[in-house]
Amino acid sequence: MSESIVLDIRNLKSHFFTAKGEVPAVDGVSIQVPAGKIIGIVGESGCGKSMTAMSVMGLLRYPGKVVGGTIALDGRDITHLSPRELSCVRGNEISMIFQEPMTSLNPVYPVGKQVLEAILLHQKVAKTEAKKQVLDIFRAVGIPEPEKRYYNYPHQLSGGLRQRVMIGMAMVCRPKVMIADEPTTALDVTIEAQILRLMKQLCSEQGTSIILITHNMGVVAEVCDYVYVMYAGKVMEQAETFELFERTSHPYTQGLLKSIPKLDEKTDRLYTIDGVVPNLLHLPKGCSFCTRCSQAEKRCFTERPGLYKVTEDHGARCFRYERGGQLDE
Amino acid sequence: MNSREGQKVLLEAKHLVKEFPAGGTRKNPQVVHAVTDVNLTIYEGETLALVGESGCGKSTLGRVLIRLIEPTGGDILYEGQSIVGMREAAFARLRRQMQIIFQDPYASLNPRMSVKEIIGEPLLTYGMRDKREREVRVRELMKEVGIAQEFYNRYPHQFSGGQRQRIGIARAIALNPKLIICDEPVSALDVSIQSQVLNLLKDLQEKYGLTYLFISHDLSVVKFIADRVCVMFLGKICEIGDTDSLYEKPLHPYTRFLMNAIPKADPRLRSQEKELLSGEIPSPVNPPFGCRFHTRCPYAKDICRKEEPAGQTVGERQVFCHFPLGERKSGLH
Repeated sequence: MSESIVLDIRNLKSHFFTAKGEVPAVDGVSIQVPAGKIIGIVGESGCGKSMTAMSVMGLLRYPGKVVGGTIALDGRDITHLSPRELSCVRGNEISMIFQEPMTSLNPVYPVGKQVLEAILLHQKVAKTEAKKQVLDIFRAVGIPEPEKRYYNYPHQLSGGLRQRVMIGMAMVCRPKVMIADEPTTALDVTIEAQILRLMKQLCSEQGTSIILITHNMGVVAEVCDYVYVMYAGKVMEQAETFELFERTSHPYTQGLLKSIPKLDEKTDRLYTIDGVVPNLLHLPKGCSFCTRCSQAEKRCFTERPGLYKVTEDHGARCFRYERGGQLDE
Repeated sequence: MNSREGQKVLLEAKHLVKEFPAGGTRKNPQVVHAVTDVNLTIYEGETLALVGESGCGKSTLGRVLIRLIEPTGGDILYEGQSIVGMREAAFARLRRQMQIIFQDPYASLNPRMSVKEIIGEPLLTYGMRDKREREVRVRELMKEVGIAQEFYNRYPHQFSGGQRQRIGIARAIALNPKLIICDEPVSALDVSIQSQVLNLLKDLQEKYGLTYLFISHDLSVVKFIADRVCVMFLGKICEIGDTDSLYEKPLHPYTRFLMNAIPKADPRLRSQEKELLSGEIPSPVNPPFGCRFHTRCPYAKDICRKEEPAGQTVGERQVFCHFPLGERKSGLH
């Protein structure tokens, strides 16, 4: 990727210090987010995709801790900011949308007021001006009758409208990067399609980059420009979206794509990846996917593969691509 | 629905209605119209899928059909026998033939019961008093659904979501039922686990000749598992038909929009230019007059706002729309 990189995550390591031992939830993840693009992070539950986001936002709480790596926003290292410095960045330059729009809005304040708070916190503007901005952003995210909705409480809105409010709140300070953690998982398909289209439109109009975290390969195919596939705390494969779907290289990604039932074909049996996601406390010694991999060889159980080049901009963490050399992370 | 040749009707719903009280005043009580005037036939050995968005009444319908919730009106025939208003003693005999698998594998298993107790409970309820006999059967069921024998005494929290769902399935098939209501059995599971559970359901159906009513909002899962599909919107049926023909050529506008909206796992099929459904689902407390879909339907005409569409039969399909989509793929009326 040659475009200007807005958010540069390098070799990020976030571990959880539990009574049973140190859990490497995020284990050396490098992600580059170019300006105005939508980056997807896919994976199953427990693969560390949400923890990567929380680490970037500085929201990891005890017993979790960032133990290594750097996070740079526009060239500035934000890995070790003080809480006060961080709160200037958070919500202003990087914002986040969560999965469950019901629990992430405060039930005892009108939604307009909650968005207003974000503006007053980060910008030096009068309240009347700020309110105008709220109504503008409500209009931009497609909330009907914004003047009336301004005074509504979260419970008076439907799931789709609540998620629009959340997106409005995240976008109102025109952040450089917005992290969306499963933004459509709790929504119905017809509403999901509306929200995805809205995010894509905002991204291209305002030049905001989006990190979209999801478990749904369909959502990735629909909106993302570049995709990272995660498994057990590591990036297993990364590529431009079309490339990833056309030349799926890592056995895990291949298995994931094969096990989704397709709309346009009739099969009697679905492909399955045997077994379950390994416990992060007892990861296999070699490749973390080796116990479930259908193509595993002897050395997969003893050596850890690096991220190798499949093509110039396409990496896979699998020995089968070792010949291509390491992809510089 | 026409009777199909060579297939026995297992369950039939006639003008089924379910309403829930929703507050209001005493003079002007409000009701949620969860299921309104539904006619449905389930044939023996088939998988019928109920599809729709949240709040369309698909789960309520599934539960009413096996009388987990009592219907407000209408009739349900099980093997030709009306089960609405049947006394509990008589119904208990039939009840063992109808089971249900729930969506949330975390909430549907009692955390204080071990696997042996969870799977053994229906056996005990229906008269298998002998402990050793029960153990043999429970172990047999565990093997059937792919739970290792050494987990016999474990508790639900020691299992992953997929394994819990397998325990729920073992419990459902313990009494050799004929009909199983699968209420979103895989929507809480990860993709790689989802396909394992779907394959298991299909295997069990083949082995025991089970009939499934498969409730889901995921159209790609439904395409894989169902023989026939019934699309619901706001408590009413939009369209029923064979899976293949319904997916190939949806007749109801809602069905088509639903299919357009699914994000497909292929970037070449991006729906950026496709028409999307605008607006949201109307409230089931005050459903729109006439056709319930008219507020979101881009093809709605005057008659749709005034008159409820009666069912039309097109081939083996049934569609509830004044202007079913014909041969043309797109375009306005």
